[in-house]
Amino acid sequence: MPVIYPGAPIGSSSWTTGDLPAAHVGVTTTSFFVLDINRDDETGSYTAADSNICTYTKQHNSSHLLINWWLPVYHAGPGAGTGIRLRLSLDNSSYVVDALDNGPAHGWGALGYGGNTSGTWGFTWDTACIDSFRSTSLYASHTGTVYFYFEVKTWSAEALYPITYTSSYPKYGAIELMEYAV
Amino acid sequence: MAILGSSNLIREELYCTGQPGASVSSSTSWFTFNINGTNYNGARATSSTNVLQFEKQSSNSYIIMSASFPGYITPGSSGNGVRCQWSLDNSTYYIDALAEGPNHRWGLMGYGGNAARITKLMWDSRQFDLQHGTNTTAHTGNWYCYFQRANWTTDTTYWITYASGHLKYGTISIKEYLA
Repeated sequence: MPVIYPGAPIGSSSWTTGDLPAAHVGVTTTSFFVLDINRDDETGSYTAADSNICTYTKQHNSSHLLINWWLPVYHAGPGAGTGIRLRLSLDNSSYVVDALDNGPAHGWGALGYGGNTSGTWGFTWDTACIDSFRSTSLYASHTGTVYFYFEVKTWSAEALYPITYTSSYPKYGAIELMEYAV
Repeated sequence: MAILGSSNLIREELYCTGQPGASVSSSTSWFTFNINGTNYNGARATSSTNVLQFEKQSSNSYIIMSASFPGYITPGSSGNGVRCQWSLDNSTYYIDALAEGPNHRWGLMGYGGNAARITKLMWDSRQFDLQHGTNTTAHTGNWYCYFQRANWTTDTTYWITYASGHLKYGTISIKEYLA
Protein backbone atom coordinates (compact mmCIF):
# COMPACT_ATOMS: atom_id res chain seq x y z
CA MET A 1 0.00 0.00 0.00
CA PRO A 2 1.43 3.39 -0.92
CA VAL A 3 2.26 5.68 1.98
CA ILE A 4 1.29 9.34 1.81
CA TYR A 5 3.77 11.47 3.67
CA PRO A 6 2.86 14.81 5.28
CA GLY A 7 3.12 17.52 2.69
CA ALA A 8 2.56 15.18 -0.25
CA PRO A 9 0.27 16.56 -2.95
CA ILE A 10 -3.04 14.75 -3.15
CA GLY A 11 -5.13 16.80 -5.55
CA SER A 12 -4.97 19.86 -7.76
CA SER A 13 -7.39 22.07 -9.58
CA SER A 14 -7.46 25.40 -11.37
CA TRP A 15 -9.74 28.13 -12.56
CA THR A 16 -9.38 31.04 -14.98
CA THR A 17 -11.61 34.07 -15.02
CA GLY A 18 -11.88 34.74 -18.70
CA ASP A 19 -11.58 38.34 -19.81
CA LEU A 20 -14.67 39.65 -18.05
CA PRO A 21 -15.63 42.73 -20.08
CA ALA A 22 -17.04 45.50 -17.97
CA ALA A 23 -16.93 43.70 -14.65
CA HIS A 24 -16.47 46.13 -11.75
CA VAL A 25 -15.01 48.89 -13.92
CA GLY A 26 -13.86 51.76 -11.76
CA VAL A 27 -15.67 50.52 -8.66
CA THR A 28 -15.20 52.71 -5.58
CA THR A 29 -16.82 50.46 -2.99
CA THR A 30 -15.10 50.62 0.39
CA SER A 31 -16.84 47.52 1.74
CA PHE A 32 -15.75 44.06 0.68
CA PHE A 33 -17.80 42.85 -2.28
CA VAL A 34 -17.85 39.57 -4.19
CA LEU A 35 -15.44 39.59 -7.10
CA ASP A 36 -17.01 38.57 -10.39
CA ILE A 37 -14.78 35.83 -11.79
CA ASN A 38 -17.27 33.89 -13.86
CA ARG A 39 -18.74 36.03 -16.57
CA ASP A 40 -17.03 35.31 -19.87
CA ASP A 41 -14.79 32.46 -21.03
CA GLU A 42 -14.13 31.21 -17.54
CA THR A 43 -12.77 27.71 -16.90
CA GLY A 44 -12.97 25.50 -13.84
CA SER A 45 -15.66 24.14 -11.55
CA TYR A 46 -18.27 26.48 -10.10
CA THR A 47 -21.50 25.93 -8.23
CA ALA A 48 -23.55 27.12 -11.22
CA ALA A 49 -23.07 28.76 -14.58
CA ASP A 50 -23.33 32.29 -13.27
CA SER A 51 -21.88 31.70 -9.85
CA ASN A 52 -18.60 33.10 -8.58
CA ILE A 53 -18.23 30.26 -6.12
CA CYS A 54 -15.43 27.83 -6.96
CA THR A 55 -15.83 24.19 -5.96
CA TYR A 56 -13.29 21.47 -5.27
CA THR A 57 -13.82 17.89 -4.11
CA LYS A 58 -11.49 17.31 -1.18
CA GLN A 59 -10.34 13.72 -1.29
CA HIS A 60 -8.55 12.97 1.94
CA ASN A 61 -9.60 13.18 5.58
CA SER A 62 -6.21 14.35 6.72
CA SER A 63 -5.27 17.16 4.38
CA HIS A 64 -5.32 20.91 3.91
CA LEU A 65 -5.77 23.19 0.92
CA LEU A 66 -3.46 25.78 -0.61
CA ILE A 67 -5.26 28.31 -2.80
CA ASN A 68 -3.14 30.55 -5.02
CA TRP A 69 -4.61 33.40 -6.99
CA TRP A 70 -3.01 35.71 -9.52
CA LEU A 71 -5.36 38.42 -10.72
CA PRO A 72 -4.56 41.55 -12.73
CA VAL A 73 -5.66 44.81 -11.15
CA TYR A 74 -5.38 48.53 -11.83
CA HIS A 75 -5.83 50.96 -8.96
CA ALA A 76 -6.33 54.60 -9.88
CA GLY A 77 -4.86 56.03 -6.68
CA PRO A 78 -3.49 58.35 -5.73
CA GLY A 79 -3.67 58.03 -2.02
CA ALA A 80 -4.58 54.66 -0.61
CA GLY A 81 -4.77 50.94 -1.30
CA THR A 82 -6.89 47.87 -1.88
CA GLY A 83 -7.81 44.73 0.03
CA ILE A 84 -8.57 41.10 -0.76
CA ARG A 85 -9.98 38.22 1.25
CA LEU A 86 -11.20 34.64 0.86
CA ARG A 87 -14.58 33.22 1.89
CA LEU A 88 -14.58 29.47 2.45
CA SER A 89 -17.31 26.94 3.21
CA LEU A 90 -17.82 23.21 3.57
CA ASP A 91 -21.56 23.31 2.86
CA ASN A 92 -22.13 26.38 0.67
CA SER A 93 -24.13 27.86 3.51
CA SER A 94 -21.87 28.81 6.40
CA TYR A 95 -18.85 30.74 5.16
CA VAL A 96 -15.69 31.52 7.10
CA VAL A 97 -14.11 34.92 6.46
CA ASP A 98 -10.45 34.26 5.70
CA ALA A 99 -8.01 33.86 8.61
CA LEU A 100 -8.36 37.54 9.48
CA ASP A 101 -11.59 39.49 9.06
CA ASN A 102 -10.01 41.95 6.64
CA GLY A 103 -7.99 39.41 4.74
CA PRO A 104 -4.25 38.80 4.67
CA ALA A 105 -3.25 42.41 3.96
CA HIS A 106 -6.12 44.23 5.66
CA GLY A 107 -8.49 46.30 3.58
CA TRP A 108 -5.75 48.58 2.29
CA GLY A 109 -2.52 46.61 1.95
CA ALA A 110 -2.85 44.27 -1.01
CA LEU A 111 -1.85 46.87 -3.61
CA GLY A 112 -1.58 50.67 -3.63
CA TYR A 113 -0.04 53.74 -2.00
CA GLY A 114 2.27 54.49 -4.91
CA GLY A 115 -0.09 56.63 -6.94
CA ASN A 116 -1.80 54.96 -9.83
CA THR A 117 -0.73 51.32 -9.93
CA SER A 118 -1.09 48.44 -12.35
CA GLY A 119 -0.16 45.06 -10.99
CA THR A 120 -1.25 41.63 -9.89
CA TRP A 121 -2.99 40.63 -6.71
CA GLY A 122 -1.19 37.50 -5.61
CA PHE A 123 -1.59 35.48 -2.45
CA THR A 124 -1.51 31.91 -1.17
CA TRP A 125 -4.19 30.91 1.31
CA ASP A 126 -3.71 27.85 3.50
CA THR A 127 -6.65 26.29 5.32
CA ALA A 128 -4.23 25.22 8.06
CA CYS A 129 -3.58 28.91 8.68
CA ILE A 130 -7.30 29.67 8.78
CA ASP A 131 -7.86 26.88 11.32
CA SER A 132 -4.95 28.12 13.38
CA PHE A 133 -6.04 31.76 13.42
CA ARG A 134 -9.69 30.88 14.02
CA SER A 135 -8.94 28.15 16.59
CA THR A 136 -11.07 25.76 14.56
CA SER A 137 -10.46 22.33 13.08
CA LEU A 138 -12.82 22.58 10.16
CA TYR A 139 -10.83 21.51 7.17
CA ALA A 140 -8.34 18.72 7.73
CA SER A 141 -10.87 15.94 8.30
CA HIS A 142 -13.44 17.11 5.78
CA THR A 143 -13.97 15.12 2.60
CA GLY A 144 -16.26 16.17 -0.21
CA THR A 145 -16.99 19.52 -1.75
CA VAL A 146 -15.31 22.71 -0.58
CA TYR A 147 -16.71 26.06 -1.72
CA PHE A 148 -14.84 29.36 -1.92
CA TYR A 149 -15.01 32.78 -3.46
CA PHE A 150 -13.14 36.06 -3.23
CA GLU A 151 -13.96 39.54 -2.04
CA VAL A 152 -12.12 42.80 -2.72
CA LYS A 153 -12.44 46.44 -1.76
CA THR A 154 -10.85 49.83 -2.16
CA TRP A 155 -9.82 51.58 1.03
CA SER A 156 -10.68 55.21 0.25
CA ALA A 157 -13.20 55.16 -2.56
CA GLU A 158 -10.50 55.38 -5.22
CA ALA A 159 -11.36 53.74 -8.51
CA LEU A 160 -10.50 50.05 -8.70
CA TYR A 161 -10.41 47.93 -11.86
CA PRO A 162 -10.13 44.25 -10.90
CA ILE A 163 -9.07 41.99 -13.77
CA THR A 164 -10.20 43.74 -16.96
CA TYR A 165 -9.98 47.51 -17.24
CA THR A 166 -12.28 47.87 -20.22
CA SER A 167 -13.29 45.61 -23.06
CA SER A 168 -10.61 47.29 -25.19
CA TYR A 169 -7.91 45.93 -22.88
CA PRO A 170 -8.98 42.40 -21.97
CA LYS A 171 -7.15 40.64 -19.15
CA TYR A 172 -7.69 37.44 -17.24
CA GLY A 173 -6.75 35.92 -13.94
CA ALA A 174 -6.00 32.44 -12.69
CA ILE A 175 -6.53 30.49 -9.49
CA GLU A 176 -4.77 27.31 -8.46
CA LEU A 177 -5.56 24.87 -5.66
CA MET A 178 -3.48 22.10 -4.17
CA GLU A 179 -4.66 19.59 -1.56
CA TYR A 180 -1.76 18.33 0.54
CA ALA A 181 -1.53 15.65 3.19
CA VAL A 182 -0.99 16.49 6.85
CA MET B 1 0.38 -0.15 -7.70
CA ALA B 2 -0.82 3.33 -6.80
CA ILE B 3 -3.70 4.56 -8.95
CA LEU B 4 -4.03 8.21 -9.79
CA GLY B 5 -7.49 9.72 -9.80
CA SER B 6 -9.01 12.93 -11.04
CA SER B 7 -7.12 16.04 -9.93
CA ASN B 8 -4.04 14.14 -8.81
CA LEU B 9 -0.82 15.97 -9.47
CA ILE B 10 1.21 14.01 -12.00
CA ARG B 11 4.41 15.96 -11.98
CA GLU B 12 5.92 19.37 -11.53
CA GLU B 13 9.10 20.74 -13.00
CA LEU B 14 10.87 23.86 -11.82
CA TYR B 15 13.00 26.11 -13.97
CA CYS B 16 15.40 28.82 -12.93
CA THR B 17 16.38 31.67 -15.22
CA GLY B 18 19.92 31.75 -13.91
CA GLN B 19 21.50 35.18 -13.73
CA PRO B 20 20.91 36.66 -17.15
CA GLY B 21 22.51 39.85 -18.31
CA ALA B 22 20.35 42.94 -18.01
CA SER B 23 17.36 42.86 -20.37
CA VAL B 24 16.78 46.56 -20.77
CA SER B 25 13.80 47.35 -22.93
CA SER B 26 12.19 50.58 -24.01
CA SER B 27 10.34 48.90 -26.82
CA THR B 28 6.60 48.64 -27.17
CA SER B 29 7.01 45.45 -29.21
CA TRP B 30 7.12 41.98 -27.73
CA PHE B 31 10.60 40.56 -27.14
CA THR B 32 11.62 37.19 -25.79
CA PHE B 33 12.80 36.93 -22.21
CA ASN B 34 16.33 35.79 -21.61
CA ILE B 35 15.87 32.94 -19.18
CA ASN B 36 19.11 31.17 -19.93
CA GLY B 37 21.53 33.10 -17.76
CA THR B 38 24.50 31.75 -15.87
CA ASN B 39 23.52 28.69 -13.83
CA TYR B 40 20.05 28.36 -15.36
CA ASN B 41 18.39 24.99 -14.88
CA GLY B 42 15.40 22.98 -16.06
CA ALA B 43 14.91 21.21 -19.39
CA ARG B 44 15.17 23.36 -22.54
CA ALA B 45 14.38 22.82 -26.18
CA THR B 46 17.25 21.92 -28.44
CA SER B 47 16.36 24.89 -30.62
CA SER B 48 16.86 27.49 -27.91
CA THR B 49 17.69 27.53 -24.23
CA ASN B 50 15.13 30.31 -23.83
CA VAL B 51 12.41 27.76 -24.62
CA LEU B 52 11.27 25.55 -21.74
CA GLN B 53 10.50 21.91 -22.41
CA PHE B 54 8.15 19.83 -20.28
CA GLU B 55 7.22 16.21 -20.94
CA LYS B 56 3.47 15.84 -20.53
CA GLN B 57 2.71 12.32 -19.38
CA SER B 58 -1.05 11.88 -19.55
CA SER B 59 -3.55 12.12 -22.39
CA ASN B 60 -6.12 13.52 -19.98
CA SER B 61 -4.42 16.26 -17.99
CA TYR B 62 -4.12 20.00 -17.62
CA ILE B 63 -1.04 22.21 -17.43
CA ILE B 64 -0.51 25.09 -15.03
CA MET B 65 2.45 27.39 -15.58
CA SER B 66 3.47 30.06 -13.12
CA ALA B 67 6.33 32.51 -13.30
CA SER B 68 8.02 34.99 -11.00
CA PHE B 69 10.15 37.59 -12.77
CA PRO B 70 11.79 40.58 -11.06
CA GLY B 71 11.28 43.87 -12.86
CA TYR B 72 12.14 47.52 -12.49
CA ILE B 73 10.24 50.16 -14.49
CA THR B 74 11.25 53.76 -14.92
CA PRO B 75 9.87 56.43 -15.00
CA GLY B 76 6.67 54.42 -14.72
CA SER B 77 4.40 56.89 -16.43
CA SER B 78 2.67 53.95 -18.06
CA GLY B 79 2.99 50.19 -17.73
CA ASN B 80 4.32 46.94 -19.12
CA GLY B 81 3.23 43.38 -19.71
CA VAL B 82 4.34 39.79 -20.09
CA ARG B 83 2.84 37.03 -22.17
CA CYS B 84 3.79 33.47 -23.04
CA GLN B 85 3.98 31.58 -26.29
CA TRP B 86 3.38 27.85 -26.15
CA SER B 87 3.61 24.93 -28.54
CA LEU B 88 3.08 21.20 -28.70
CA ASP B 89 5.73 20.61 -31.36
CA ASN B 90 8.18 23.52 -31.06
CA SER B 91 7.07 24.66 -34.49
CA THR B 92 3.52 26.00 -34.35
CA TYR B 93 3.36 28.48 -31.51
CA TYR B 94 0.23 29.96 -29.96
CA ILE B 95 0.21 33.33 -28.23
CA ASP B 96 -0.94 32.97 -24.62
CA ALA B 97 -4.75 32.88 -24.26
CA LEU B 98 -5.18 36.57 -25.04
CA ALA B 99 -2.96 38.33 -27.57
CA GLU B 100 -1.62 40.81 -25.01
CA GLY B 101 -1.18 38.33 -22.18
CA PRO B 102 -2.95 37.98 -18.82
CA ASN B 103 -2.41 41.57 -17.67
CA HIS B 104 -2.48 43.21 -21.10
CA ARG B 105 0.61 45.03 -22.32
CA TRP B 106 0.22 47.82 -19.78
CA GLY B 107 -1.12 46.08 -16.70
CA LEU B 108 1.67 44.19 -14.98
CA MET B 109 3.68 47.08 -13.52
CA GLY B 110 3.58 50.84 -13.75
CA TYR B 111 1.61 54.08 -13.57
CA GLY B 112 2.96 55.06 -10.18
CA GLY B 113 6.46 56.28 -10.96
CA ASN B 114 9.60 54.20 -10.62
CA ALA B 115 8.73 50.76 -9.31
CA ALA B 116 10.57 47.57 -8.43
CA ARG B 117 8.64 44.36 -8.01
CA ILE B 118 8.66 40.62 -8.42
CA THR B 119 5.94 40.18 -11.01
CA LYS B 120 3.88 37.02 -10.81
CA LEU B 121 1.88 35.38 -13.55
CA MET B 122 -0.04 32.16 -14.00
CA TRP B 123 -1.37 30.36 -17.06
CA ASP B 124 -3.82 27.48 -17.38
CA SER B 125 -3.96 25.20 -20.43
CA ARG B 126 -7.74 25.09 -20.24
CA GLN B 127 -7.91 28.80 -21.01
CA PHE B 128 -5.49 28.21 -23.91
CA ASP B 129 -7.79 25.55 -25.31
CA LEU B 130 -10.84 27.71 -24.84
CA GLN B 131 -9.36 30.66 -26.72
CA HIS B 132 -7.51 28.78 -29.47
CA GLY B 133 -9.75 25.78 -30.03
CA THR B 134 -6.87 23.42 -29.31
CA ASN B 135 -6.93 20.21 -27.30
CA THR B 136 -3.85 20.28 -25.13
CA THR B 137 -5.60 18.08 -22.60
CA ALA B 138 -5.16 15.04 -24.85
CA HIS B 139 -1.59 15.83 -25.83
CA THR B 140 1.22 13.63 -24.60
CA GLY B 141 4.87 14.35 -25.12
CA ASN B 142 6.74 17.59 -25.02
CA TRP B 143 5.21 20.92 -24.20
CA TYR B 144 7.20 24.03 -25.10
CA CYS B 145 6.90 27.60 -23.96
CA TYR B 146 8.78 30.85 -23.76
CA PHE B 147 7.98 34.30 -22.46
CA GLN B 148 7.86 37.78 -23.93
CA ARG B 149 7.78 41.27 -22.43
CA ALA B 150 6.80 44.70 -23.76
CA ASN B 151 6.22 48.26 -22.63
CA TRP B 152 3.04 50.15 -23.27
CA THR B 153 4.61 53.50 -24.22
CA THR B 154 7.93 55.14 -23.46
CA ASP B 155 9.03 53.58 -20.19
CA THR B 156 12.14 51.52 -19.73
CA THR B 157 11.89 48.18 -17.97
CA TYR B 158 14.83 46.23 -16.61
CA TRP B 159 13.65 42.64 -16.64
CA ILE B 160 15.19 40.22 -14.18
CA THR B 161 18.71 41.63 -13.78
CA TYR B 162 19.13 45.39 -13.54
CA ALA B 163 22.89 45.42 -13.97
CA SER B 164 25.76 43.05 -13.41
CA GLY B 165 26.32 44.63 -10.01
CA HIS B 166 22.75 43.83 -8.97
CA LEU B 167 22.14 40.26 -10.04
CA LYS B 168 18.63 38.85 -9.86
CA TYR B 169 16.89 35.72 -11.05
CA GLY B 170 13.42 34.38 -11.77
CA THR B 171 11.69 31.03 -11.53
CA ILE B 172 9.02 29.17 -13.50
CA SER B 173 6.96 26.18 -12.45
CA ILE B 174 5.11 23.84 -14.80
CA LYS B 175 2.65 21.39 -13.27
CA GLU B 176 0.58 18.66 -14.86
CA TYR B 177 -2.50 17.31 -13.12
CA LEU B 178 -5.15 14.82 -14.12
CA ALA B 179 -8.36 16.20 -15.57
